[in-house]
Amino acid sequence: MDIESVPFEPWYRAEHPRLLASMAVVVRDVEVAREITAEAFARALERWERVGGMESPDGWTYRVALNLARRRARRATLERRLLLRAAPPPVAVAAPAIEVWEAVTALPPRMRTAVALRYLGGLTEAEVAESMGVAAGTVAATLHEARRRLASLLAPEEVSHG
Amino acid sequence: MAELDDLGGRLSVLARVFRGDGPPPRAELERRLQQRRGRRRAITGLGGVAAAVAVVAGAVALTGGTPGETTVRMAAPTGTRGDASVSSPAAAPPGGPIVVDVFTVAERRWELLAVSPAPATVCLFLRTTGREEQRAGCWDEPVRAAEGVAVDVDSFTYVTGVLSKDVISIAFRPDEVQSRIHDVGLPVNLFGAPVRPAVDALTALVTLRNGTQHDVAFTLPAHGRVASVDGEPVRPATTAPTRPTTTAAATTPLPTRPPTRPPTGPADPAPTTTVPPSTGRPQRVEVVPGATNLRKQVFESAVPFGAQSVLVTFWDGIEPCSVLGRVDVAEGGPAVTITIWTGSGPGAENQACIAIAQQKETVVALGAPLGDRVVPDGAR
Repeated sequence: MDIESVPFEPWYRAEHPRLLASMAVVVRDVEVAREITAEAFARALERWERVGGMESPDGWTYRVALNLARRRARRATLERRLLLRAAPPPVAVAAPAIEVWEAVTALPPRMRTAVALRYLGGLTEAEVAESMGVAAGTVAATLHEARRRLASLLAPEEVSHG
Repeated sequence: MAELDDLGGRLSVLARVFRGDGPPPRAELERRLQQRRGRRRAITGLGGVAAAVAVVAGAVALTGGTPGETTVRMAAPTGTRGDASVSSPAAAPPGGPIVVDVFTVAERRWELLAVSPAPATVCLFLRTTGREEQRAGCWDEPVRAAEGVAVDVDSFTYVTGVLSKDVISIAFRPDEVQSRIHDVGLPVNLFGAPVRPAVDALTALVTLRNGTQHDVAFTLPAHGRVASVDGEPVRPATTAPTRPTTTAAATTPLPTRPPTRPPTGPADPAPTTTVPPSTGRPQRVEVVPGATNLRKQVFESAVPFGAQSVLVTFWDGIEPCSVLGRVDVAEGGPAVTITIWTGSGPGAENQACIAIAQQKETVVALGAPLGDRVVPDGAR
């Protein structure tokens, strides 16, 4: 079945904050997330004739963004290892100073990626699985564990405020 | 411990924070694409220059061709693909990297080294008089295909190839390769020269299929090896290059053809970035007006300098691709918080950026002598 292509502009405006927030959680660096997000949307724009007709343009764009994030992380790690003297420590770019940011970005990489894509990106578990290249069951288990961990970090304070 | 039920709700706070940013206008995306197309044109125009080094999953093989030509034979003998040879750190030659080229510049002997710190990864870097220079380029694509990258160094092209396991199909297009090189965060670099994939080499690699075709040859109009560094012409070193200790390479001599100057002219349109001569000291820099894509950069040290300044040392890339864009100073109480911002300098959009790490320093003026005040890093 042919899927009618959606216009780029409104889709872009609607999706940008979600992808940016998701990538910020994934890479824990807002400036890097901005760069990755812009590049992912630029690629979507370049191929919009095809991407816009996909069942899930969001999923495609998140996959691209995740790949960009992975390559960036891999290269940074690699070059740090190779060039020890040239190894600047990870940059902690200013982040939203809210407890949920602290809690989510403290999760292990796979967990925070799943959380970001599911709850910030709004992808389905199946789309998260596809974007991350893992099985759907893995995503479900990962999210379950993430929620459990976050409960221990976030819930007590909520109680004390309540 | 129970799960957090309203995680979506809690996280929506974050989404709202970022919604306030607003997406960059569509024109910004189009400008980004335009820049990439410009780089692609530069690649298409590349031609005429090449010295070739093939590092193919442990097999290094170069053969001399007819005059004016070097045949780069990318040989992956059966059983040595993937991480079976130099692609594996465990199997790397003792003592580290393979020396793929040796030359002399300004009375200093230089070695171009290839090392594979991880499977399907090749890094090239320079070493002189026993110490490594901070000049390297790495290719670390996942093990999904044959990987071929040609990099242009001072108008000579080094061709590197990594043949991975489980190759199913390869569909490199120049633009994809180009974006691979440029979209990985740190720009790819190789001692001061733009990094440009050579279309010819990549096209040849496309013929590799399923890991079964392990002897692909292609030719490049070639000259020799490194012709100049930092503008200094090189001459062959008196010491022969160390042979790679791999099965295929052991029987194949490395090229000994004296370097010659490459042709220059319109066939090679991409701008050249140069590396400041190495002095052993950080490069003194000042804020470059008009720098874009600013981001915080952690500094290495901040020490008193003069009566009322601080000398801040940090690592950064090569200009104009990476420049000091801004310095924030917050003086309050017992601390002077300094934040270094680096970004792209004017003209960087027309450069094929290189990812050389370079130590820089800048003098930051204070409102009062530093005294006993500490200097926290605003980027941490």
